Amino acid sequence: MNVCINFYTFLYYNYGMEGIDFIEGNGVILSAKILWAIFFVAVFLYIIISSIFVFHWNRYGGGERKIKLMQGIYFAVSGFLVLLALGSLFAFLYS
Amino acid sequence: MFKLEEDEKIKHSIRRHSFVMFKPANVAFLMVLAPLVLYGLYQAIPIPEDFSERIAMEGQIGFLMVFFYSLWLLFVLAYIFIEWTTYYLDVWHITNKRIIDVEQIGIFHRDTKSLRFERIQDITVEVKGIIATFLNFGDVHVQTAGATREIIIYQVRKPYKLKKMITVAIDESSERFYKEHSKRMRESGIPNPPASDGT
Repeated sequence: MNVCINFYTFLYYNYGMEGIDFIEGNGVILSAKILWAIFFVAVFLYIIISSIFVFHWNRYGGGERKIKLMQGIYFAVSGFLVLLALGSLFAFLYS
Repeated sequence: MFKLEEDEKIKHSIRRHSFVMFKPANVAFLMVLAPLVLYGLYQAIPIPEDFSERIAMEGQIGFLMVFFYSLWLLFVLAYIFIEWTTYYLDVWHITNKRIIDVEQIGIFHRDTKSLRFERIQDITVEVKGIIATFLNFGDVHVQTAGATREIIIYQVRKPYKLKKMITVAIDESSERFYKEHSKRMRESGIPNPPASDGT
């Protein structure tokens, strides 16, 4: 499924000018593939940064309670955000 | 990483005042808020009815916005935790023998150095600015006899108390050193030299 959102047309409409359809031309086209690519790149970066955090917290944190607590908060919040992104992407593309 | 010597114990671990997290917290707050403000502005712009309908037909734009906002928040979260990790792992340990400075400058930059008590010659405290004065934090400079080595304990809470703590630790260390030295001398049969005041 291809979803086209044309921000140029958008701007022209908002400024009361005649709408020019750029969808077929040089408009911004967000296809499902691009959205999935954005999602997977973000998740890949998230995994890398999380690995760096875990490495630092475990190696230099010395197993402190506060480090463990913050680690829990980080994974709870970030996990929620990843799931939210995934859910909204599914909803956008397939609902 | 640092290794403690035999019979060395950490007496205090000191971190910077949590006020140093104020700036990153504000930046993160603005980062969280910025897309919402932009969205609010976008909502304030009147859109022709037919165009709104067209957007609704092209896909539920709200879901797309939630998608991008979630990824943005993930980025903001990473930023917050980079700042926090740098803050929390930047620590000074005062042991019964030395001061160990573990400096976490960035997420990939870590520097560890130590200063033995017998080398310390001077400790000075610097409290700069109105906020530091009211919140009672400042820098503690620990200097050695040589001009090159100095440990600066940055933006630490209650700097005068810390200075006192270090001074007490130094005194205890010298006392312990003197006792051990005297014991060794006694064991080897050499009498202790008289103290400097002649007693």
